[in-house]
Amino acid sequence: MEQSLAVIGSHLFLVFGLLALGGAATMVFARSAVHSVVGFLFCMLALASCYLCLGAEFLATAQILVYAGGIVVLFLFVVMIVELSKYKEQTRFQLHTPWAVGLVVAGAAAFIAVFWQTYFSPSAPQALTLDPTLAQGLDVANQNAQAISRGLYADFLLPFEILSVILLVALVGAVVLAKAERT
Amino acid sequence: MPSMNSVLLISFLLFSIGVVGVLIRRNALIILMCAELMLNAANLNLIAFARHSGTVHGQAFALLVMGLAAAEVAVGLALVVALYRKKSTIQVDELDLLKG
Amino acid sequence: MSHYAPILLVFLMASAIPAVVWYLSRLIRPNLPNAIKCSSYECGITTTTEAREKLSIRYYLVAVMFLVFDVETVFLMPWAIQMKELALFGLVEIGVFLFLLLLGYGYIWSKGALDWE
Repeated sequence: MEQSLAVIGSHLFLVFGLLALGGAATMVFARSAVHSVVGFLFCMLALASCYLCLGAEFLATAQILVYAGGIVVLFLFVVMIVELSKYKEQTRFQLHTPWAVGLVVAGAAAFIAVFWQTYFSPSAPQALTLDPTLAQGLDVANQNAQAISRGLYADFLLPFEILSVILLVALVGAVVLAKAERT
Repeated sequence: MPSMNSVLLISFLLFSIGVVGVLIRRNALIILMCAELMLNAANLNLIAFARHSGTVHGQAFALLVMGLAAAEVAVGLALVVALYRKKSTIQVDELDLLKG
Repeated sequence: MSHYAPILLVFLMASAIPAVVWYLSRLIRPNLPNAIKCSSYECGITTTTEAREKLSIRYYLVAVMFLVFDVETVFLMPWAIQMKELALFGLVEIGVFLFLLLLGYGYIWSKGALDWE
């Protein structure tokens, strides 16, 4: 039982990763904006499962809380506010912009070059591992949130406080922008 | 445990789907979602390398990135709403107010 | 990892049951569509307009506030479970964090974003 669970667990990451890719592809290529948002939601949930597979339990929970609970709802509200059904996109994609296509092709070429270098060249570097023994500092088994709080509140003091300023600015900015001409 | 290469490959593909979305879609909402997707791909990398290095800093930083993404979405969507009220459209190529 | 196997199992079962029930009911029921049956169901009243009506901007403002304070809660949790170890330093740190967000809260309150009219 334990053995088979371990084998399934090692493949689960790939399963969830492929699901996330599928959600992302739905998001980009869906015709209606609501379908895009649903694809985004699916992608975020699959990514939360990926985080779980990598032993980041607290982050998986935070991903569901922040993304699935907050950001997707925000996107859905805006989809309903802007009444997309009245303003259909005449052509969905702007593939006619040559530099966009050029950029994508260049990126793909760079990736294939790196991929080739990594796997098939004689001087291929050693693959990095995610051995479970490496994860001791993370206290994966039961205390992931405690470990994160040690890292976050002891070592990342300044980024944390800056984030609170950014959240404040975002809150004020969103209210100012959205309320601008109500009365 | 998944291998590092599979994690990197998945996060690379997610990031490139995000880039492709930003480049080819014209709907401002979907462009914002694609930006979120790219942040998530970066988060996946951070978590994988936190695991690899055995320290927790990558995970703590991913949490900070998540908070930043929330702030970005709040302001970005408010911009989209303000834009919609001004121009009645959210197609990015119809926004040519700055054209000389 | 294996503590999460039950959650996955529940998840799979929860998605399988509706699919099976839906498919079974499709197999068994007689298929006799007519105009009234095919129209969208709105509490038995005849539908007048489309469902995609324009929402008020206030919903967006409420959602933004929810999102920001949601993130705040996510950051409060690791502090709360580690409160004793972080001691006074952590208290000051989280105090600054909460104070800044409370400033934002006071601002939106004074701007009247919380009034529904």
